[in-house]
Amino acid sequence: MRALSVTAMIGATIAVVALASCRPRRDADEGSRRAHALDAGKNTASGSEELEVGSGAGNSGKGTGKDKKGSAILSGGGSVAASAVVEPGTIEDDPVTQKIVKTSGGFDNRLRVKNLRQLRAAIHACVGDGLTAVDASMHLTTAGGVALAPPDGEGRFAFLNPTRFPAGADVLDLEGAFLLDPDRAERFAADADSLSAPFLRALENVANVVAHNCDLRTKSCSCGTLEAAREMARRCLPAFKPDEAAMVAAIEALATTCSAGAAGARKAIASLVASYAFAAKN
Amino acid sequence: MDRRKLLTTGLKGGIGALAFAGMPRIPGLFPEKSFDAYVRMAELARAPWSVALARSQGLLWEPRAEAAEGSEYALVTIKVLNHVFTPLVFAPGKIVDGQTQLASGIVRGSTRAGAAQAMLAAAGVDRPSDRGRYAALRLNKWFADLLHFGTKDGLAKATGNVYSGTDASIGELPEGTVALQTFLGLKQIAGQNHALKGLKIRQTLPDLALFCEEKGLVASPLGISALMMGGEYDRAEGQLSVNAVLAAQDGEAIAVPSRRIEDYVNQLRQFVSRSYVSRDPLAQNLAARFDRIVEGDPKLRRELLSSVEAFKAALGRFDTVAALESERQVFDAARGNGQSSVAGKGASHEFVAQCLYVNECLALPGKPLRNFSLFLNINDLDGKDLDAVANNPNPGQDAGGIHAFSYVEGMRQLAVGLNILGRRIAQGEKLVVCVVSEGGRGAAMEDSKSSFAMVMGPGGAGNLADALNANLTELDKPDGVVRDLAAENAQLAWNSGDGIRAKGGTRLDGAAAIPSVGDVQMGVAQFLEDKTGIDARGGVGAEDARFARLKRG
Repeated sequence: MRALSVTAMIGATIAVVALASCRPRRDADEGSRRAHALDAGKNTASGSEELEVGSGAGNSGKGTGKDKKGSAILSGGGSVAASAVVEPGTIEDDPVTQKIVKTSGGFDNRLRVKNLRQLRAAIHACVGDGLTAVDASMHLTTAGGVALAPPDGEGRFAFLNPTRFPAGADVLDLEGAFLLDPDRAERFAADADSLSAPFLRALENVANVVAHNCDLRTKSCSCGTLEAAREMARRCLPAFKPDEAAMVAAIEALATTCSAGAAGARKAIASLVASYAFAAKN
Repeated sequence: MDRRKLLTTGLKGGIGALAFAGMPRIPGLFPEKSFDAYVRMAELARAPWSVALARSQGLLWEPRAEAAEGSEYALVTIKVLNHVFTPLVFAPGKIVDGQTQLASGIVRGSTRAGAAQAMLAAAGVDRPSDRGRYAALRLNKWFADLLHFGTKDGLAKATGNVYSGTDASIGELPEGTVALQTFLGLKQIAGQNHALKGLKIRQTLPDLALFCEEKGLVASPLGISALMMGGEYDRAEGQLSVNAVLAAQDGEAIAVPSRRIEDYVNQLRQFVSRSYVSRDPLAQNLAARFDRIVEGDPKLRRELLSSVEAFKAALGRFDTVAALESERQVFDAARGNGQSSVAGKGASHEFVAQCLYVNECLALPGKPLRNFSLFLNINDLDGKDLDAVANNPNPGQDAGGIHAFSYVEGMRQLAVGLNILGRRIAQGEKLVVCVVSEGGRGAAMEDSKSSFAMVMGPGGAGNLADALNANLTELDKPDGVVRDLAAENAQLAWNSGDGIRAKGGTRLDGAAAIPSVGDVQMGVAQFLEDKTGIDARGGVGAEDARFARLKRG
C-alpha cells in the first residue's frame, strides 16, 4: 500500500511538472491555429470532413488510458482520435475545434498523425535541433564494405542508401511524400483507420537519422537512467500520461536499452522516435 | 490454430488471468519480463470476457495468428482513365458466320486507329474472337488473343514477342480455374468525366479497395498499395491528377495516396537494411513498447517486423519490376505503342510492371500485401485517333506532366496485365481483379457517358463462372445503340448474366436495372461477402447496396 502511495505521488508530481513546463508557446500556438483554420476552411469548402467542436481538457487525472474505441487518452484530456491540432511539445488546455475524418460511413480514424511541421517541432522538443540532416557517415557503400562494419565507438554505423538520401539533405524533406499527403494540407490515415506501413517505414528512416546525429554527451540525448528516460519521454511524448501502465513500461524499457552503451542509446532513441506514440498527433 | 481452439485454450487460463487482471495497476509493480503481461492484463480488464479470455493467452500466440484469421482473398482494382473505347475490346454487332455485321458508317475498333489501323484490322479488332470462350464474352479477336497469350502481338509466346520481364509470368490463360466476366453499358457514378471520384463505389462510399479492407472482406496486413503510372492523368473535372484510394466523403478525399513502384521498392530496400530502430521480436521490441501507449496490440508493427525477411529475400525481384517502370519500348507507329510526352520513344512498361509487382507481393510468405489499387493512364483523346499521344491537358495542368499511353498501347498492356494476374489465379491464388473506368469514349472519340468493366477471379464450383452482362438484344443488332456504345442511350438493362440485384438479392427489372460502374464493384463486394461470411453491406443504404451479381460456377 505504501508503495502504491509513493508511486501515485511520483506520478502526480511528474504530471504537474509536465503541465507546468509545457504551456503553449504563443507564436507556435498562433501558427497552429492559423494552419488549422486553413485546414478547416478548405475542408468545409470541399465538404469532405466533419467538423466538431469539443473540449480538449477536463478529464485529466481520471482517464483509464483508453476510451471506448481504444484510443489513447491524452494527459491534457481528449483522445488521439479526436485531438486538437496543437504544436508538438505543448499541451493545449483550451477548448478547440476538433476534426474527425471519416474514411467511410461509420468508421472514424482512431489515430491521427503529425504532419511534417509537427514532426520537425516534435524532434526539436525531444532531442534537439538540427538532427535531421543526412551526412556521409550514414551512407552504405558496398555490401561487403561499410555495410558490414560494426558500430564505431560512438555506437554509429552506416545504414542509408546514398542515392536516395544524399549528404546535406534533410531526411524529413526526403521522406515528406510518405509522411504527408502532398495533395492535402492534412494527411488522412492511410491504412483505412490507422497508420500505414509506408508512413511507419518513413518514420523509421527519420528516427535513424536523428539517432545517428544525437550527441550522447548532451542531456537531451541522455536516457540511460530511469530519471533521464522519464525526462526524455516527457519531452518527446508530452501528450501522454506518464503514469499510464504502458507508458511506465515503455520508459523502463527505454532506460534499460539506453543504458547498454552508445549503441543501446541510439537504439533507444531511434525506437522511441519511430513509434506510434511519437507519430501520433498531440 | 483457429479461433475456436484459441478460445478453448484461452479458457484454460481464464480464471487466473481474470484474477491477474483484477489486480491494481501499479506502475513499476511488475518486473521487466512481465511488462507485456501487464499491458495485456490491463487491456483484459476492459475487454469483453470471451475476447479477454482468449487474450489472456496472448503471450503464447504466434505473431501471425491473428493475421491468418482474416479473409484469405486478395483484391486488385484497376482504374482506367481517361475513358474506354468499347470497340477496341469488344466486337458489337450482328454476328453472321463468325463475323460482325454493322451498318455502314459505324465506327469500329480499327476505324479511328491512325497508323495502327492496318495492324488492328489484321489482328481481328473488328470481329469476335475465334476462341469460343472469349467470343461468348463478345471480346474482339485482337484483345482476346492478347489476353489469352499475354504477348505483345497476341500470338503464342516466342522469342521477341513478350514484354520485358514478363516471360515467366505469362502463358495461355487456363479455362475453368480462372473466370472472366464482362459488363457493358455502365453509367457513371459522379456524372463527370476525368474524375477519380467516378471510380468510387458510390459518391458517398469509398473506393472498392477501402470498402473491402474496412469491412474485412480483404485483410491486407500491411494495408492497401496504391500505384500510379504516367505522372499525372488529364483530370478535367476531378480535383486529383493522380491515383489515390478515396474515402467515403462526397468528393475526392484521399485515404491512401499512390506511389510509383520504384518509390515503394526504394523504401523497402531501406527498410530491410541496417537500422538503429529495434528489430527485436515484438514482445521485446522497444518501438512496440511505445506503440502500446497508443494501441495495445500494435498489429502493424508486428507485421512490419515479420515481413522484413520476406522483403529482403524478394528485393532482387522487386528491383527488376521497378526497373521495368521506366524501361521504354522501341516506338513502332504501326503498333501504336506510344506514350505522351516522350516523342519518338515507345511506351514504358509501367502498367505491366504494376501487375508484376502485385504478383511479387502475393508471392511473399504470409502475404503481407493483399489489396492493390492499380492505375492505367491512357490519353485523353478529345477527338484524336486511338494511336494519338498528344496531350490536351486541363487548364492549369502541365501537359509535360502527363505520360499517358495511347489507347492502343493501353488496351494492349491491360490485356497482358490481366493475363499475368489471371495466371496467378490459376495457380490457386484467391484473387479478384476488377477493371473499371470513369466513362466511355464516343464514336467521334469524344468524352462520353457509358463504359464497360471486367471482373476476373477464381473459377469453378463455388467460385465464379465466365459471364457476359449486356443487353444482347441491342448489342447483336447491325445498327442502333451499337453506333455509339459510350452514349447515354447505351445504358440499358441487361438480359444476360445474373443481372442487377436489390440489396437483398431480388433481381431488378426495367429502368431500375440499368447498371452502373459502382454496381459492378458492389458485385465484387457481394461475392466476397459470400466467400467470407461477412455482412459488409449491412450498414449500407438499400440503393447504395444494390449490386451486379457475379455469375457463380
